[in-house]
Amino acid sequence: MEGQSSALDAADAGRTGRFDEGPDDLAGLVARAASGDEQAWADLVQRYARRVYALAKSRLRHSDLAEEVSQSVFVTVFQFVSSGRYVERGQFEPWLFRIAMNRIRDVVRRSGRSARTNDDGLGERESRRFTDPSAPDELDRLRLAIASLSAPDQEIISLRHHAGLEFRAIAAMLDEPVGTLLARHHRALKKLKAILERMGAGDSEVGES
Amino acid sequence: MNSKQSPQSHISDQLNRLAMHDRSEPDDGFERMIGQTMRQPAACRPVPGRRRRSAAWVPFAAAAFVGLFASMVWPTSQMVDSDQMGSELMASAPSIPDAQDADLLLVSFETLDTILNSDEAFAADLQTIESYMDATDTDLLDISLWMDLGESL
Repeated sequence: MEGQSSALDAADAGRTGRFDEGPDDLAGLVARAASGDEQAWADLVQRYARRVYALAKSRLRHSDLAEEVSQSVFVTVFQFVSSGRYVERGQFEPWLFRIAMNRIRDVVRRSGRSARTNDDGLGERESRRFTDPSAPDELDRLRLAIASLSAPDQEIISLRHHAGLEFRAIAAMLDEPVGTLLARHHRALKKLKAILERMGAGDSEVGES
Repeated sequence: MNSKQSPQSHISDQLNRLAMHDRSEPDDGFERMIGQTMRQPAACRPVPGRRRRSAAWVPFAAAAFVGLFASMVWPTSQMVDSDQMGSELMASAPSIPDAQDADLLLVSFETLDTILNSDEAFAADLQTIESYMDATDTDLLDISLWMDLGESL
């Protein structure tokens, strides 16, 4: 019963991206996974699978591809960790999401699926691609607005919000200073706000605040 | 908590809501499926975005291999150039080992004539054919005619 509730907690944490464990606990979890502990693997998957999926979905805008990327990332992680090729230096999270970003880039390169990089508004075709019947309109508009950001801006937004990474982890992953990333994130949010205002959707929301 | 939110923190909250929405998209078996895929043999795993390789080259490669193999096992016989074929040239092409062990090695038309003429019965049959051809003025193109003549021999 206790194991079941801890699994449910992990699943919730996977959705929210919030964990009470510190880096030492994560290192211990990875070490246990490396030694073949099935429960440790289940915990790692619970913790990261949905965050990897959300990152891939935000970049690829395709559920099936995002699912395949998630599987592929964990296969690689499993191979490296279980064979002892992964050396724990407290960088598990940046390492895992770097694999994810590389996989996403591979898919983009192969399928020609790429993020929009202009600010000229969104075409009808693009709009249709983003329309998700299960998503509220507000989120749909937000997706459209994100798609009109530049590639680096989209990247920082995806890593920070969809993957739920801290700026330190993003800095380690992209090999850039934290300050640079904070500034980029700030600028990206400003641009996003401007785009939403232009789209007319963000007016009332932003005005209220 | 501040009742007044900055516009950017409001957008940040919206982004977090979008992320939560996307994370909730896969069904409850998502984690289990990933756990199973991790332990699958490499050949069974899906490769994201990779196109399936075409196997159209297989029949061509197989045919080429069979042709190469056949040319090694059964080398091409030397062909006599009909333009250069004189009375001295005979079907001496087969230099294959089996021919060397044969009782007869035909090296010229003269030799062939000698052999044929030495066999009276065979020579008689040949004469029958020649006379038949002369009589019927046929080129012996009809296969049944060849069969008839063969039986008579």
